[in-house]
Amino acid sequence: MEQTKETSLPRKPIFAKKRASKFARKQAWTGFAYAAPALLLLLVFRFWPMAFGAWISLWKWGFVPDKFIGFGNFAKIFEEGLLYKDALLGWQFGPIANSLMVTVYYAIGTIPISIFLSFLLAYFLFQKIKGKGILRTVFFIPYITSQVAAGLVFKWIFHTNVGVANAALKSVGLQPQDWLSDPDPLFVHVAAAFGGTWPSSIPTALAGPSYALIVIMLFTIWSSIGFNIVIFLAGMGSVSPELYEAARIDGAGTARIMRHVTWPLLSPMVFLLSIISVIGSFESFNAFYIISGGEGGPLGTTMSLPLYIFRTFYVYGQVGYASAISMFLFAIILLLTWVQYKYGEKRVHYLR
Amino acid sequence: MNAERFNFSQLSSRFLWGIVTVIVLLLAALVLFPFLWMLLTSFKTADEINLMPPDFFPHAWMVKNYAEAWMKPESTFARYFWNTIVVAGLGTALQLIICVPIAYAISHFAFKGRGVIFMLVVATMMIPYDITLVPNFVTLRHIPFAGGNDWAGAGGKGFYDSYMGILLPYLADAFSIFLLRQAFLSVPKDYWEASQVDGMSSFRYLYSVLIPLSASSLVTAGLLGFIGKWNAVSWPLIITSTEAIRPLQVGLLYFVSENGSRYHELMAAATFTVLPIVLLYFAAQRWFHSGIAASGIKG
Repeated sequence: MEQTKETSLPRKPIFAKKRASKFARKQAWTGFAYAAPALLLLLVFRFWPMAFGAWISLWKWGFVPDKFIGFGNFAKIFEEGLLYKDALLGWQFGPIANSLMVTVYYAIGTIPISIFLSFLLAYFLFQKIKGKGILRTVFFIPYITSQVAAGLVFKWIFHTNVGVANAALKSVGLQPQDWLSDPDPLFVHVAAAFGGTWPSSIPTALAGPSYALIVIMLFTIWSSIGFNIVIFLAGMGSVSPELYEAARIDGAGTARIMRHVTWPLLSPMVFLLSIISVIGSFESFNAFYIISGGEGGPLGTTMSLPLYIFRTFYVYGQVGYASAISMFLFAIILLLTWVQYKYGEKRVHYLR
Repeated sequence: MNAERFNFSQLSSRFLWGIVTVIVLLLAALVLFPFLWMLLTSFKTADEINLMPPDFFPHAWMVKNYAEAWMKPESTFARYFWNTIVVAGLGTALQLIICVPIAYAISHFAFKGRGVIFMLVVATMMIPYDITLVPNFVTLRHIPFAGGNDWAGAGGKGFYDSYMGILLPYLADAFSIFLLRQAFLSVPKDYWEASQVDGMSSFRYLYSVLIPLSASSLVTAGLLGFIGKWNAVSWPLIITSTEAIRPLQVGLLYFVSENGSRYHELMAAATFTVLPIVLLYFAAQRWFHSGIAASGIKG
């Protein structure tokens, strides 16, 4: 009697379930306890700043809160920061539009070159060659080097009077340049080289990067290829060698294999790197700060938006306005990341 | 005919490969040049650095440039070095102590909201650095009971101008957490189940099984954290005002605003700032590259 009852009622599963739920509760609490410290720090120093920054941006706020002005700071961005009307000159680019152009030139001048160059180098370093460990280290060292120290070295190399770059130019019979203090943008120089002038009706902010900005771009490419190479090498390691063999047997040469096998298979890395790099470009501060001596000069041609925010906050003490501009910058970064996801993801080949 | 053409293409591809090798070596030389020039300049005299065209090698190796650069800033580089060692060393240790458990939690424990927590961690990678500067500055000034503050966080200067202020906002690092999670997930699940059956405590499993098995990822996370903290400049500059607690990179900025022509001393200072990190990288390189590969970065 007892026996049949025992078998007809599934007691064991119930017992197991009860135990499991008690066990699971303990597990849940332990897991949560392990996660808590980091979670707390992330909430306080990453997520709270988003909310708090949005709140500050609604205030006229020096080093202490002054008064609530609603969207006043944002209105200021659009009225003075982007475009403003000068009594004599008509519509002019404001400092924020100028900084945006600086950042756009910088992104265009660094990201494609850096990614493509590191792809080629990684492809080379992936082959069986002697000394590839040393070469990999050589390309990686700039990435771990302090940007302050390295930026100062670049400043020294491009020194107008006694820099080694100008010495090299002179030795091959070229004109030395005022690398870091010539405010004229690239296309003004190009126009002058062909005997023309840049039309005065177009703002010079649209005439390309200044030489100082080009030096900063060189610096960035120099310091970023090491990281990109590491990512590409990790990606190449996960592609199965049979694919290359199959392509070889089908008669594809190195160039075609790179173009039609390696590049598409590494497109997830290219996608990842381009998203990281675009965000990085719009947040880049160190190189600009060091090479321009913190002033964004000559004539604001190296005033990246983060540097402008830093100066608004740190030099001019306009905390509210600085917060509003960083919200504006965040909106731009989100938009760009979203656009890349929307149009980039389709071109990515996942091999799964 | 066929064989001849094959031979020819092999020859040309050999030739092309040779050209590519030369280009790569040239690029490597170009990448190294700034370091070489930094070193060479650091040993020159004030007269030599003002030569145009410059001489490649110094005439006499001026080791005393290093001593002069060291003593130049008000609080000397000894102080800056000490501050950086404290901030980077303690910061990295704390960073691992904080990031390892959360990585453990999201890789090994089933609980409600685990997915949400992982999403939150990953999402922090998207938050721009600049947006956090001002609010974190304000938050740190108003930490209750710190730096003379009362319970409401008013009255004192909080963690402003302190090591804690430099450290605290960057202890929980999303990339480290991600890296460690990947490493912990790659440890066979059987070990975890076996430890559960044996009634091993979760903490014991963490330090006696998981951590030893994920050593390369731990080294990678630690090294990246250390390098980042060693090289950080804008946050330490903002959150401090006393030279005596400022780190190395901020000390180096002393030379940025100075418009003099003492580039030989500057290059000496740059050299001793860069050298420890490069040496550290050489020492940890072996674990480092396998650690990055193990993170399974797949886009």
